[in-house]
Amino acid sequence: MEGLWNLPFNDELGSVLASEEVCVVGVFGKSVWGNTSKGIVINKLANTSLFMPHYPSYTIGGQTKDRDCETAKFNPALNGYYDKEKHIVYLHLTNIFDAATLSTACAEMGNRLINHNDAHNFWKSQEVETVFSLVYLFSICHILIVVHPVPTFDISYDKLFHHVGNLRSKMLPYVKDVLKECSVGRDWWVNGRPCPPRLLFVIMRSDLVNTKSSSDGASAEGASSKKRKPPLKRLQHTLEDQVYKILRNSRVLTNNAVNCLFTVPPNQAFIHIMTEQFDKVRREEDPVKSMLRLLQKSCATHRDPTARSRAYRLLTNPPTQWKDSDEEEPNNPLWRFVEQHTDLVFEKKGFKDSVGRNPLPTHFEIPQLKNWLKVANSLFSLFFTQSFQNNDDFVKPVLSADAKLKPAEIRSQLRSQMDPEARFSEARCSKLVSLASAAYQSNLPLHYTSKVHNNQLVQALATYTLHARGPARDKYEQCVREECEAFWNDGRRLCEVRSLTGRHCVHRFHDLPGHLKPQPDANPPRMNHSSRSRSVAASSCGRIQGSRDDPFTLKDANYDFYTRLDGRAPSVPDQDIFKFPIHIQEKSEKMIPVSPELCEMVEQLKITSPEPTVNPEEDTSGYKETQPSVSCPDDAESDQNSTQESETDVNKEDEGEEAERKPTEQEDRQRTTSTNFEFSLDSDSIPEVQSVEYNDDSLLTQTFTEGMIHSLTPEGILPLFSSWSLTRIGPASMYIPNHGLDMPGFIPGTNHLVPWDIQFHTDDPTVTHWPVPGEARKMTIKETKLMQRDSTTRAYVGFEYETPRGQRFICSSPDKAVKVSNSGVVRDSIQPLLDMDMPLYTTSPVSGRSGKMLMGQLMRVLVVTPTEQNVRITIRPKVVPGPPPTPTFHPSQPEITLRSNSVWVLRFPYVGIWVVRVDVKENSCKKFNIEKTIANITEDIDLRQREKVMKARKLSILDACSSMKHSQTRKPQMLVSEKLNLMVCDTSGIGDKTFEKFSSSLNDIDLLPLQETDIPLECLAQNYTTVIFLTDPLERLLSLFYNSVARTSGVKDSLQLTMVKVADDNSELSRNFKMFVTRMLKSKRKFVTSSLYSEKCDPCKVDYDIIIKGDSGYLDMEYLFTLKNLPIEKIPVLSGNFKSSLREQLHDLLADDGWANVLEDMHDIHEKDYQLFAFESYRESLKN
Amino acid sequence: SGANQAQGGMSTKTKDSNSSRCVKMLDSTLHWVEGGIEFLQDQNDFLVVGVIGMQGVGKSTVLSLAAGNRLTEPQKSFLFRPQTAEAKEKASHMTSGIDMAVTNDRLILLDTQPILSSSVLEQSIHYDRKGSSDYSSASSIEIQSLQITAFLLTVCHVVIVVQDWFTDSNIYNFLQKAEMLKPVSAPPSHDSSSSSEHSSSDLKPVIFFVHNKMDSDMFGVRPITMMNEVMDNLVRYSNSHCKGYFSQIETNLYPGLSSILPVANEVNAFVLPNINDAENEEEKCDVTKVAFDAADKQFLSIPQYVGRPSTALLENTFRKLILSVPRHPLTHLPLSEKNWFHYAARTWEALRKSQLVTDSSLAAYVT
Repeated sequence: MEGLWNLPFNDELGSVLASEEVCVVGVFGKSVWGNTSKGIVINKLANTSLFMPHYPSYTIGGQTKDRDCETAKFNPALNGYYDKEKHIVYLHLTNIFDAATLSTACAEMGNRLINHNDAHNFWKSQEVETVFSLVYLFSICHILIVVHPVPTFDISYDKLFHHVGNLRSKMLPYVKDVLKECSVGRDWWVNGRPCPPRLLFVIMRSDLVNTKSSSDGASAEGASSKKRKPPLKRLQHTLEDQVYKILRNSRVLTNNAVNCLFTVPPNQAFIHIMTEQFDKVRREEDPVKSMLRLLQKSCATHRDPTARSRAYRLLTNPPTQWKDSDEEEPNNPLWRFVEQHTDLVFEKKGFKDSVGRNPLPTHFEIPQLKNWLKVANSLFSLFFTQSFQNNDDFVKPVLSADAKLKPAEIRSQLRSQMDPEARFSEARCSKLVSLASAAYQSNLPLHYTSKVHNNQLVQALATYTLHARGPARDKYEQCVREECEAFWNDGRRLCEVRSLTGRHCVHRFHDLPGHLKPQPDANPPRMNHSSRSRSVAASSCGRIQGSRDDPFTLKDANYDFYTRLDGRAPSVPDQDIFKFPIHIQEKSEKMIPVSPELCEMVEQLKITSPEPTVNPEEDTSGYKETQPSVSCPDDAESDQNSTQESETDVNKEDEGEEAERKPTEQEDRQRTTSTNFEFSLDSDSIPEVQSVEYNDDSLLTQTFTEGMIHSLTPEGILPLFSSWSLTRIGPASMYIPNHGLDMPGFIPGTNHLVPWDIQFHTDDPTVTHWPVPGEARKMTIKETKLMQRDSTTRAYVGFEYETPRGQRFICSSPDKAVKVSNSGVVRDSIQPLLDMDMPLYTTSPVSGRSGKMLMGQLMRVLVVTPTEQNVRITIRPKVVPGPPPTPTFHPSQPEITLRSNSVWVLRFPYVGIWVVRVDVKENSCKKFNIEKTIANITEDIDLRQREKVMKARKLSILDACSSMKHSQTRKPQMLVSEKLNLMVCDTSGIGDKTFEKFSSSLNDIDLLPLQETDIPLECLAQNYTTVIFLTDPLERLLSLFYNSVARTSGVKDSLQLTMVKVADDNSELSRNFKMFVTRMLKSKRKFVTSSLYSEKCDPCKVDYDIIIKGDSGYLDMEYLFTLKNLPIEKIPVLSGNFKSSLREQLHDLLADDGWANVLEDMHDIHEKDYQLFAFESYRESLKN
Repeated sequence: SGANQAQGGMSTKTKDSNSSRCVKMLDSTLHWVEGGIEFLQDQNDFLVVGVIGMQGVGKSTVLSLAAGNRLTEPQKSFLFRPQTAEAKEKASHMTSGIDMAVTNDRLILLDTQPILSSSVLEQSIHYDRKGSSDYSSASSIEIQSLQITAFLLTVCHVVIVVQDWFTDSNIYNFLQKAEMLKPVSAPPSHDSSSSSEHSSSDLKPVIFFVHNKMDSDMFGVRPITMMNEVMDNLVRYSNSHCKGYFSQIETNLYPGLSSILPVANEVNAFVLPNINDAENEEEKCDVTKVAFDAADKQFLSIPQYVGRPSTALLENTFRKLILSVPRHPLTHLPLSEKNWFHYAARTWEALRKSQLVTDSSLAAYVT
C-alpha cells in the first residue's frame, strides 16, 4: 500500500497490514488548479507530498494530445493513500469542481459539444456522477472533509447534500445486498455504513490574519470575551454557527444522527481555516518565487563579512543532515484539527452527535484494513460499474442481474431530478412553437414563393427566439422550422420555376406532364408552367407575327414556338430551309445519353443564371451599357479561285484580330453583352444547301446537348434541336429596295436593308487579289476604287431588332436605326455593319404605349445576295452574350455560305439561351481545389518552422550548457521541465571565460530566429527556451528595467532575456538551491521525473547558478534604441565582451546623454511601476 | 477615443466621485427606493454597470475601481464600502439590496448584495422562522439571487461577474438560469418590424468576468489562456455578449498572449491581484542590516519579484476598459437617465411578480 492507489484495490497485503484497524477519511470539495489544489490538505495531514499539484492535463493548442476520450474519462476520480503511522486511509475525490479537471474537460470536450443541449447534458451528467461518488464516499468513510478555497459556506452544498441523501436511501437496499457478502457488523449492514460520518470543513485561505492590529481595530466598540479571540478564530465560530443553522433549517441535520447523511460535532470545532499553511505552500512551492527568495537571502548572507566560509559550513552541516530539516512541521494546526476527530475513531467511542433530550444511540464500527478494502471494492463496482459496462471482468458475482439494472434506473431518475432547467426550458420552448407558427401564418397569401416563406419564417423564428430559453431552444427551433415548412408544403407552395425571361410561374406547386419526380407537395396537379406573360414575335422568316407565351424551356423558346408559327406562314420549299446539323435521336437511344442529373442541372442553370439571361422588356436603365457589336472584319472580296485552305487562314487571322481588339473595346464601351457576327465574302460557286453529315458512330457517351453549341462545347457535340434558323424566303428580286421589306410590325421607315456594293473581277482569273492575312482591312478606299473598273454588284444586309411588343426595326450601325430618304433610298453606309459588332439589345426608336422605352433584341439578319453566281456571301454568326468567361454561341454549323440571288433570313435564338455550360463550373471547381492544397501546405510549413525554431533553440541552449567545462572530472548537469517551463543548469565558476562564451552563445540563440525573416514572430513567443540568469545586481537592475520596457512599450510577443548573476562565493545560495533540488527530487514532482537529462543531481560539488525560465529582452532593447535613435550596436547584452566590460560600457552609455534619457524615459513611462532603483544614486555610484 | 475619454475623466474627476456617495436603489427587503432619481439627469449618454458575485469576492471594490478609486487608498474613501474586517470575521455581507452611484462620466454603478450568500440565508432564516413560503429558505435565497441577477441583465449595459478563485462552475450555471428568467423585452408593437429586428441583438447585456484576488501565478499567458478556455466553454451558449468587448490581448498587459489565444475565442475577462498578498510580496529586506556594499544595497532594495503587471497599471487598464464600452441602447426606444430609472423600477416590479420565476418547473428545481 505504498504511495497512491486507485480503487478497486486488489493487490496483496501483508498480514500485519491487513489486520490493522483503520480510520477512513474522505476529502472532496472545490479547488483551484496548481500547487494550491486541494490535494495539499492530505499532503499536510499525512505529511507527504504525494498529492501533486493538480494542473490541467493537456497542452494548449492540443495538437499533441489524441482526443479519442469518452465522457467517462472526466468522471470523478478517487485516489487513495494509506498513512501507515497513523492508520488512516485517505480518499481524495477529484471532479469537475476542481479547476484542473474542469479545464481539462473543457479543452477536450469543447469541440465535441456542438450544441447547447449536448453541453448541458454533459455538464449535468458530470454533476450526477459527482452525487454518485459522494454517496459512495459517505458509505465508506468515518470522516469527510469538505475543502473550500474561500471563507464562506457554499450554499449549493445544501442542495447537493439533499440529493446525496436521497440517493443514499434509494441505494441502501443494494448496498445492504453487497454488505451481506462482506464480514461486517450488524449495525454496519443495517445502516449501510460503518457509522454516521462526521463532516468537517477546511477553508483554504482567508484575507484575515491573526495579527493584533486588525483585531484591535475591530474590538474597539465592545470588549466581550469573544472579541478577544483572534480574528480567524472568530470567523471560524461564526461560520460554524452559520453552517449549523442553515443545515438544520434545511433538515440536512436533524436531532437523530442515525438518520442523517452526516453529523457535525456539537462541541468540537468542525471548521478549520488553514490560511497560514496555505500561504506557506503557495510561497514555497512556486518555483520562480522561491528561488528568487533563496537568491536574495543568499545575497544577504554571503556578503556578510562575519559569516563563515562556505567550506566551513559544509563541514559542520553536511548535506546528509539537510534532509527534512523543514518538512517535519512541529506545529501542524490542520492535523491537530483533524486529530481530535480521528482520536474518537481509534478510541472506538464513535461520534455521539445526536442532540435533543433523548438522543438515540449511534452505531460505530472500526474495520480492519482488509475488511474495509473488501467493502470498498464491492461497493465501488456497485456504484461505478455502469461506467464500465463493456468491461466483463468487472461484473461481480455478488450482484444479481436485477440489482445491476436498478442503479441505472436510479441514476436516470436522479438525472431528471437534478435537471429542472431542462424541464423548464422544455416546457417553455414547446409552448412557443404554436405561437411562432401563428406568427408565421399571419398575413399569408393563398400561395406564396420561397422568398415569402423565408421572410415569414424569419419572423416566426424572431418571435420564438425572443421568448425561448435554455437548452431545449435548438430542438424546438427545429420544430418551428419543420412546422412552417410543412404548412407551406401543404398546398400553399407556389411553383417557382422561372421562365427564361425571369418571371416565375403563377400556378401553385405542380408537376409537369410527363415528369415523375418525387416532390415536396404530396399530390401536385399536373400542368405546364405559365407566367401569364405574353409577347408578340415574328416567325423565323419574319413574314407573319404571332403571340408567344413566356417560354420556360430552351426548346420551347427557340424551336417549338417557331415550328408552330412557321407552320402558319406561307410555306417555303424544303430545299430553301437550311438544315443545321442536329443530333437525331434514334429510338434505341431513349434519352439515355442525357442523364436525369444533367437534365436537372440544365434546368437549374436556366433558372439560376439570370446574368446572361437578358430581359428585353426590362427597363432600359439596366441595359444601357449593353452595347454589343457586330463585326464584319472580312470584307475582302476574293477570287473564284480561292481555296478552302486560304479561307480558313483568313478566319484565323480574323479571330486573332478580334481578340486583340476586344479588350480596348471593352474598356471603351463597357459592354457586358455583345453579339459578334463575322461575315466573309467569297466568290466561289455556291454549294447546295444540305444537311451536313455528322458522326453517329462517335464513342462519346454524350453526343448531344439540350442547350446550344458554344465555344466551350466539346468537339462533336450536336444539339437536339436547332435554336437558329436560316430560310430563303425567295429570290433576290423579291426585295424592292425602294419599298423596303414588306413584313408586319416594322416601325415605319425602318424596314429598309442597307445596300452593299461589291467589286469583283470577272475577266482575269489568274490575277488574284487574295488578301494576305491582315491586309484586307487595311485596303484603302482608293485601292478599292482602282479596282472598281472590274465589276460591281449589289447586295443588301439588314440587322433586324424586335421588341416584346412586336415592334421591329433595322439598324444600320450599333444603336442606330436605318435612315431612309423620302424616295426610299438608304444613305447609310454598309461599312459599320461590316466593321463593328452590333449590340444584342438596343432601344427601340419609338417608345411604347406607356411612354416606356422598349428594348429590342437582335432577332434576324436579312441578307439579299446578288444575282451573280460567282459572288458568294458566307456568314459566321456568333453571339457573345457577356464578357469572358461567357462562351461565344454559334450555330451547330458555324459557317454557312449563302446561295446567290436570294433573300435569306437568319433567325437568332430567343432570349434565355445563354446558359453557361456545366463544364465551366467544373473548371472553377478545379481551381478551387488547387488553392486549397496550397493553403494546407503553407500551414504545415508554418508548424514545421515553429518546431524547427523551438528545436534549434533547445539544442543550442543544451549545447551551450554542455560545452562548458566545469572541471576536468565532471560532466555538466541539467534539469529541464517542460511542464513548468523551467530549466535548471549548473554552470562553472562565475566570472571565467567559459561563462562568457556561454552567455554569448545564448545570445546567438536569440539571434537565430531574427535572421530568418520568414519565420513569423509568433514562433518565437513560445517562451520555452527563455532564460533568467542570476548574475550580478547591475544586470538584475537591467532585467527589471527590460521587463518594464516590455510591459508598456506595446511590443507584443517579445522575449525578454534577463540575466542576474550572483558573485563568486555564493555558498548560501548553493545550499539553498541544493535543498530545493533535493526536495523536488524527493517529492517526485512531475517536472523532475520528466527531466530529460538527469534523474540524479549531485548538488554537493559545485557552485550553482540558477537558470529560471524567463524571457529575452533583445527585442525590447532594439525597440527602445530605435525609438531613441541610438546605434543598435550599443546594446550591452549583445556586445561580445559580456561580463568584464559591461560596467565600463554602461558607464560610457550613461555618460552619453542618450542612454541616460532612455532610462529616465522608461522610468516615466512606467509610472514608477516598479520603483526600480534610485536611478540618480546609481549613476553616481558608477561615476565613483 | 474611449481611451482618451477615460484618461480625461480620470485626471479630473477622482475627487468629485469620492464626494458623492451611493444611494439605495433596493433596500434590504428588496423594495424599490425612489431617492436615486435625484442624481440622474435628462440626457441619453450614460452607461449602466452592475456587479454580481458571491459573498466577499470584492464586488464593491471592483465597482469602486471602475469609479476611479485605487486599491491602495484607504477603504473609507471607496465609493462603495468594501467588506470590513469586522464583517469578514462575522462572515456577513456588507451590501444589502442594491446601491446606486453616479459618476461624472455618467457611469451609473449598481452594487448588489451577494448572490447565493450563506449570510443572507442565515438572516432570512432568522426573520421568517414561521416558514411562510412554499420553498425552503435556501431556495428562496436562490430565487432572490436569480431575480437580482435577471434584473441586472435587463437594465445594465455591462454586468461584471466577480469571482475570487478560479473557478466555481456553479456561477456559470447560475448565470444561465438567470438568463432564462430574464423578462422578454418585446419590441414596441407600433414600431415597424424592420427597426426592431436589427437592434434586438444589441439589447443584450455585456458580461464581464473579473477574477479578483488572483495569485500572481495566474497572470501568465498560459494560465490566462486556460482560464479563457474554461470560460469560453461554459458561456458558449449564453444569450449575452460574453465575447468581444473586453480583450486582455488588446491591453498589451501580457506579451505573447495573442500568439496562443485566438482572438475569436477570447471571453470578456480581466484578472485583478490579491492586494493583501501584494503587500506581503512588496516587503523589502532590511537594507541597513546587510548593506555592506553600495551595489548590494541597491540590489537588496529592489522590490520583490511580483510576476505580474503592477497594481496601478491593472487598475488603470480596468477603468479604461469599462469606460470604453460602447453605450448601446438598452431598450427599443432611446432612454434618458431618468427614464432609465423608471424603466428599471418597472422591470424590478415585473420580475418580482414574474410568472417565470414562480413557474412550477423551476420552483420544483429550487425546492
